[in-house]
Amino acid sequence: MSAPEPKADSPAIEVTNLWRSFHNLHAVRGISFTVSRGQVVGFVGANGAGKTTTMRILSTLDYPTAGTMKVCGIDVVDFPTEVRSLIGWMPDHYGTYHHMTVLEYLDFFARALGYKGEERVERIKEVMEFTDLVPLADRLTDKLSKGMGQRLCLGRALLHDPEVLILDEPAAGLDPKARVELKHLIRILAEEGKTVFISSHILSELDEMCDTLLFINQGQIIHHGSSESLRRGTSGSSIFSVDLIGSTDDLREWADINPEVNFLDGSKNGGRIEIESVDPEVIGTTLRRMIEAGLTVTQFRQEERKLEDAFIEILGEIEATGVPIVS
Amino acid sequence: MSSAESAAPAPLENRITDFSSRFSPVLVKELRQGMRTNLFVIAFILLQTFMMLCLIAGIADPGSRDADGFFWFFIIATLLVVQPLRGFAALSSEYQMNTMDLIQLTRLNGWRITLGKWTALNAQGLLFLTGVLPYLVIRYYLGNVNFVSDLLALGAIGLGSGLMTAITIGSSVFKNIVLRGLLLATLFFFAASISSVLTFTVFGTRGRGFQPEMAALFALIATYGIIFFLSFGASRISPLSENLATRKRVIAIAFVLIAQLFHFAGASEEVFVVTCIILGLALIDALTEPLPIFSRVLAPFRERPLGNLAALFLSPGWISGLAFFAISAGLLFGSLLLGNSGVSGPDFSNTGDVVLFLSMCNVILFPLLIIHLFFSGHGSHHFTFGVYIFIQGGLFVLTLMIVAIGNALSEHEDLIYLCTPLPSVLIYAENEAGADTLLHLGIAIVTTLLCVAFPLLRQRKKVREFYATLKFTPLKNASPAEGN
Repeated sequence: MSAPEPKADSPAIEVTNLWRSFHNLHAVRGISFTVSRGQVVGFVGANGAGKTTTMRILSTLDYPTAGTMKVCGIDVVDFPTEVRSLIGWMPDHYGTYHHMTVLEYLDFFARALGYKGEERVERIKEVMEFTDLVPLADRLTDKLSKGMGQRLCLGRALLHDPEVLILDEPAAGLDPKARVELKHLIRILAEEGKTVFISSHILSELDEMCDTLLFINQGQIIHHGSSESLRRGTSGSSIFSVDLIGSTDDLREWADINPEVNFLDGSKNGGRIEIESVDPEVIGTTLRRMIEAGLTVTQFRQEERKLEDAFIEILGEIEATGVPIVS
Repeated sequence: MSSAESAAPAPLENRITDFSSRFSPVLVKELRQGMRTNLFVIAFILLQTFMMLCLIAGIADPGSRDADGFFWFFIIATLLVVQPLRGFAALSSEYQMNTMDLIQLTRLNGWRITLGKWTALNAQGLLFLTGVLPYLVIRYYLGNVNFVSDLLALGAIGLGSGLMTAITIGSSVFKNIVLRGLLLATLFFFAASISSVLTFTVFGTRGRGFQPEMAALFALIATYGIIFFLSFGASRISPLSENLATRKRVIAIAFVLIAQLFHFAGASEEVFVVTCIILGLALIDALTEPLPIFSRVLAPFRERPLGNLAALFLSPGWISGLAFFAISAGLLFGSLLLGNSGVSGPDFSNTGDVVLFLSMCNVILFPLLIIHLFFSGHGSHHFTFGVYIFIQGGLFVLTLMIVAIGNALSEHEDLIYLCTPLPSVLIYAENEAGADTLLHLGIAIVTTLLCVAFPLLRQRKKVREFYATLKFTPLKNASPAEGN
């Protein structure tokens, strides 16, 4: 079986009907999704949802019970060696060694990845500079803080300049400063065109970094799309906060005579209304009608649903209907 | 140059080019780590101190056997016990530190990892040996010392140290410290027993003087032991899609064939023991291997002439392990026939010898029957091997108990043995009790057939999948199988 070359036109990650069972426990239940090249994709789910299992199969460290998984068109089961040269894996618990400095740690992995002589030294230097590890070169790896350790782990994953980065909970346990630094590094990698597949159960963290989000629950994909589409949800309505000169009753009365508008709650200078549309044209027309009706609107602001709320809503809908929602 | 400049650390490139790129990455890592550990430094200083004390004792009392005894005791303790035991957690620590996954994602395969660790430990062992050499030379000048035999003994200890280190590294793949400890204690016991017997034979305690052919046989079995235990560890840390089984089995066959040459040196008894050890180890490993039904593993066989035939006994997994068992039995049979020419040995026209031969083979095969009877749902190869060893240990104890009961109730001895037709009991019954040999033969044949047929029938779906993947026939609802 000859080793295949990565295909330029194939997606970075392609998963088809993937199952992983441990005896009677189905950790992953027939998931399918595609990640285009250069995308930053957030993989979200509660603990035990199947995130790490999926990522380990993707990293060639585990095997599917059924289904296929390809990285740049190469099957992870049939050609693990080839896939390994394309991926950089950063596990949730990074590994360190006793009696080994940061520099020696990177040197070991650079040697193990096949780098020799001058090329090895250059590659290590580049990675250390990118991850700001140069001042820590002589620190023992088992004496690093969590943030430093994550930077070292990212540096190790970048040594062979992989096309696809698989990061499992990279920000877990990091202090705010280390989180910001890590986000910054990931953003730069995304700008360089790397595909980043990143898991977390903290949605706000992923929202800022990711092009799309992939939600997994009990081994099934329940949402695949942008954070905007998730915020919009499936209800097809938008919520607005309205401030006006006048009383809240004026807004309530106007809402009562407009069937596409629901008054939600009042505030000191207005209140919150729900317009049963997400179409910007309909929203604009509604605002115009509000002004034409004599309401002196001083602020009209769309409220964004929190991703956490959207996620909970999706879970609720699945519970009610029993059907996964994949958009 | 200012003091600040002189205190500045060396450039990065100078700090990571201390070892050439040609060295194994694992060797470099292990040496960097190993030389910093206290155990190495303390052991080295202690050995040097004891060597000096022995030397002083030798000078004070020339020809003293005590000083000589202590001299060798410290060398043996350091090289055969302390140094190998440093590999006790060589592989399991990689799991504990969460680094095994990271290493597996590099270009290092399992074999290079275990070999690197073994080489690093032995390089440090070599430092110990080198540190001892000056004392050997000084002892020579003090008299009453045969320098050549001392050097040979040192070489044998070095080889033994390599074997013990390989055993600890191979066993260190098990994360369970109790299993690892028990396995290590058992293997150390067997290795030490066999090594001491062979060493006495080599150094001619049978009144025949130094036996070079025995030394060669000792070197052969020690070399196989080193390769086997390193491969054992390697195959258990490697992904299932990495085929190490073929090489392991071919190496075993090659070593068995080389061992047969020693028949011509008149060492048939020793050759038989060595053949049994090599095949026994290879078979236990093969029969407890998981079954990776991956196209990647089986495809290389399809692409070669006679590849499908070779895959039947050389591809990874216990199914081909059964075919390898048949080949091994044939090799052992051939070895016995070769050793038999002109010397008294087994006579296969004698039914009793056939029973003994079959029962010996069944001893290896029998735990497989129990595994597939009770534990067929468990896929982990660590688990299967652990269960195999546990069953084998249990059968050993059971045999001792049955034999003891048989001896106590000597009137019903034959009946007791027939009611518990374990292969090991059958060997004892055939040798000692002298009951109906034809009945024993029947039991031995049925046991062999049962041990082979039952696992295959129980796992018929896997067997079908194995052959279909081998022939590249897509199965309906085929799925990449979990190891089993």
